[in-house]
Amino acid sequence: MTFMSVAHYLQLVEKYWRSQDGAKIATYLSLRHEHAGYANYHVESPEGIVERFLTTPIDELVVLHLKCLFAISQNDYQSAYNLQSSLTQTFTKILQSQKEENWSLPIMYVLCLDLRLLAQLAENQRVGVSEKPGEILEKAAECLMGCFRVCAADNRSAEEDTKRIGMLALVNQLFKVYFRINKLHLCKPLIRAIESSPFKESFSLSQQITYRYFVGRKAMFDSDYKVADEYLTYAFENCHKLSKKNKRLILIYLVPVKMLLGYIPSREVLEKYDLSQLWDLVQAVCQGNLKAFDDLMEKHETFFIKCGIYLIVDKLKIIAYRNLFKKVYLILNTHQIPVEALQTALVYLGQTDVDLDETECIVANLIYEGKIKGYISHQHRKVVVSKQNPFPPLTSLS
Amino acid sequence: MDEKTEVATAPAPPAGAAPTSSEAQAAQQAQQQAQWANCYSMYNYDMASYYQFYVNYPYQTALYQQVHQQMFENSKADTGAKFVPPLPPGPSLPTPHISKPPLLNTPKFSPIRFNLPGKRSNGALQQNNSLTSGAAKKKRKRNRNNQLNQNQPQNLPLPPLPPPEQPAPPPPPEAAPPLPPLPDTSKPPPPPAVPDKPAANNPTDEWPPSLKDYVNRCYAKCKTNIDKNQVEIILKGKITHAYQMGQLHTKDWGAEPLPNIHSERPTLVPKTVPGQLAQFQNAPKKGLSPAMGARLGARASTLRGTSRSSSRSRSRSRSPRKTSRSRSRSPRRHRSSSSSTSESSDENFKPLLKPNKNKIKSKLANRLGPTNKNKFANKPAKKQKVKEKKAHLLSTFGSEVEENSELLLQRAARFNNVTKQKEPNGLMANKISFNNANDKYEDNIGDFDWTGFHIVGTCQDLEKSFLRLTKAPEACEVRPVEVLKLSLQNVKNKWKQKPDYYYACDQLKSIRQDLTVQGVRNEFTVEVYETHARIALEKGDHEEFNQCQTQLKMLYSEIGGGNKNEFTAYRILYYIFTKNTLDIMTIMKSLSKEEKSDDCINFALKLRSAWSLGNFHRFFRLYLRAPLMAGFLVDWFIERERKLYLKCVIKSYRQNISVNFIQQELAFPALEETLKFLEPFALTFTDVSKTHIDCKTSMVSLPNI
Repeated sequence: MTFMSVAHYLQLVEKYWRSQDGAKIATYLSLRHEHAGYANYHVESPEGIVERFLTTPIDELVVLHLKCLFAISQNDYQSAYNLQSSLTQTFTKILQSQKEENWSLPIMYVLCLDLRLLAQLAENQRVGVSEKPGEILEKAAECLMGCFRVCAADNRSAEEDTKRIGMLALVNQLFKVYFRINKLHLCKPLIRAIESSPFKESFSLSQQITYRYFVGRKAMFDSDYKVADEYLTYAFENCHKLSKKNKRLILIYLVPVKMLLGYIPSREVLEKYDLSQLWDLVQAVCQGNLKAFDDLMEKHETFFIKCGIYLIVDKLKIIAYRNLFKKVYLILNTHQIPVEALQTALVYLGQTDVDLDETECIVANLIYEGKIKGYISHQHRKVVVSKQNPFPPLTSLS
Repeated sequence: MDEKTEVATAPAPPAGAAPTSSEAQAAQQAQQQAQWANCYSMYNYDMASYYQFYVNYPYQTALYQQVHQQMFENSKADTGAKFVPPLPPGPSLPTPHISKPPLLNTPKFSPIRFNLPGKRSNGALQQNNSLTSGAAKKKRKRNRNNQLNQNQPQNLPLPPLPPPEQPAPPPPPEAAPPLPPLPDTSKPPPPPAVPDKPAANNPTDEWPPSLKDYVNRCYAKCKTNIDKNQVEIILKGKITHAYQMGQLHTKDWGAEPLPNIHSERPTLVPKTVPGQLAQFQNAPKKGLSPAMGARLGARASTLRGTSRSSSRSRSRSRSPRKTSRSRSRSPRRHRSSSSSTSESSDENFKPLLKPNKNKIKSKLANRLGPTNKNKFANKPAKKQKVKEKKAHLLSTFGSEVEENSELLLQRAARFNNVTKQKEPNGLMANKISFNNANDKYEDNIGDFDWTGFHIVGTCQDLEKSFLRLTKAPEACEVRPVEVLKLSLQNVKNKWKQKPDYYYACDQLKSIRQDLTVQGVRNEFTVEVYETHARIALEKGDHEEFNQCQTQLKMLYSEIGGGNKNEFTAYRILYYIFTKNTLDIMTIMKSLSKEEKSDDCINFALKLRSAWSLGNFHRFFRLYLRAPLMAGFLVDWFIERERKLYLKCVIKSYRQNISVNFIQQELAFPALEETLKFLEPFALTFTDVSKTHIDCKTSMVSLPNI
């Protein structure tokens, strides 16, 4: 069973190239398109046949593409990556030479996406610990930057022809690489480029959602929870309802951010997206159940670390403290809470090594952050809370 | 156009040798003579001194201008005559056939002044002429089949075609850099100083009529200034050559082909060969160093007839010099390899153009794919070959260079535009032996596998100051491992006696450098880095510590080490110091259960937790119990945390809080230090003895902290 003969394929490519059908060419140069899987496309040296059908510059692209398919069929992702990298660079040059036209942008999207995926595969395949991890991805990022520069520099073309409309797709690819290799600081100039772009609103919705997902995550890592909330919320609300996987990814970051800001997710939404781990945690935090919280952190540590939310989820413990102290306050029903009472509660919930000073310190920190209104009298070992609204809702905090 | 360029000259374009770039460049050439002379003369010294002469005699220049003017008018008169003596022929050149160029109207002859530096005995000139033969045919062929053309290197307009009206300005003098050191073997004797001789009063009187006629015909073809300049240079070369060969009168000038002219080559529009696209984007910024041009020219000619592969491999062998982070350039390779087969008959320019085509991008490694890597890895073997090649070059030098002087001239001109590249001299390469994934050479290693290129040091000095390398190290400056072991011991001993960080850091850095240069990565390397990391830790040298711990991270993963956990813990603490939560996460991801229970790592993790939760009390308690040297690292950011806690305390405690409590909570060893810490914040105390802080009143001082 074959897809179509290579000759036929080449003829079609030639035809679409002449008619400047970027989308069609893109599918024919994709490593994930149907043709890629068929053995008759796995040609080691396709120069001969390609040159019979195609002229420059498309011939070089197709030769590299076919060679890349061959390398993949040999499971040699390293060479495949190198070929795809050359392919992308060659295409970058073609793209640059095409003034006042942007029909070939779909090709760029496909090439760049394939490049990144191949870089990941090559990275995984690489053996030998001595080599620096992330090296291939870094090189892929450089290659993507080459494309990005071409697009970003195209500021003379008319709006409908400008290549700048392709920037966001590249930025998203670059985000994916940078997040993978932990080089978030490299995202900053990209974000600036997009935020200052006149086409900010005209990029495709899907690209915008991806973009906001990453910018939101970055803001979260920078402890800028307000911005993180804004971006992730946009991404979650606009993400297509059938993209459950993506919605789930967004939610993994959105839930801790929202919780830090005082919003508790509903059980339904968490269960709908298979995030029951988070639901347990939500409950522990709401109840101020530090013991459960610690247990859950340990239980789901791998999951949290893998998602990169361990550190932020860890911070929810501060909210758990607040909720616990509020409970103690309600039980004692007094504005002068003995520190011993708080310490007892902490020890009861598994924080066995906490002494009075540490309890005071925890309270002090909550007061400092505005989560408790009041003060500590160290001499009397009392926490004196405000008569009005001693535990203001977290959502009211700036 | 500068005056100097307004000089009638003569080398005929051996058709193949004058691609567009030469034409564009031709105009500049004369201007560059002064610079050119130096290096160029290595191969072609007679010409060089000749040009120098020009520069020195302005009155002649004026004369030439006059001549020129006339020529130009003439040429305007015969605009009808313009069929193109076509461009360099394609691959298969019928060799010794001389075709007669179409006759043009003969313009009135005007004298051309010439200074011919010295008579030379006979030499063959004819080979140049032969190159033009069959050119017309070739041209038709080219038009018919443009694609074939793209594979013909001599047609590749190497540097992008400058617009004909405005030739690129000549590169500033700086563009001719000092000659890169050449291996002695390839250096021809310095040009004998040929004294400038005053020209005969009217040299053209001696010219045979056929030559005069030829010159006029050449000028008749000119349409633009570029053409004129070009023709000047070509004529100059030709006539000089003929004169040197004593053929001025014997030569059949009527049969001499007319030079190719720039404006007659509309077909040479840049083609959009993908591999070439680079040219359109990166217009070459610097001219190739004249030396390079000359050398390339010389090589191309001297190597002709030798096998192509060898000449190419030579050009490849130079590549390692300028490595850069490289991407593989397989498209180039593909293209060139496919074309090489079709063109084996074109012996002249292939080997030359190939390396140069790519030099537009100075990043050499760009085009060195995996194959090159291998090539380079075999370097030691290759070196021998290169030597032989050079020897060959030298041996053939004497005769060929003279024969081809005008070819050389033109060819050299073509490389004006090519991006300057450091002259690689294969011999140097074996000395380069950086293999550090470390700091400074990182950019240079690129894709190459340098592991095979370590030198082994011979230096026996116990102490050596650190000096950042700017070139390949000499073996005599590098200490072998045995010596380094003693050096390390020496540093340690001295450190124990008298902790002089400046001295220790300097010594350790130079030990690290010597290790790196020799590619030594073993337990000893680990020890050196650990030692330096510890000393840097103690002395708060963040930068050195970070370098060491980065290296240690790699070394541990390569060869392991007993102190891995200790340094992992330091790394976590270091990331707390830099507030790099992402990297903390990465470490946590990689920790195994056993590692987490390690004392040191466990401490670091607990500290992190206390730090991130704002549990200062616990943070400072942990600080007091810091294992090993962790305390030193925490010291780097303890001040920051103390300030935070102090703010927190002042904001949340009422009415007042004792300084003793502060001292205890902030883990100060003594009261004096506590007060010293508090002093700059202008806090309010309840009494003069400063035993208690008035928190409420001190709130106004919070911004000070």
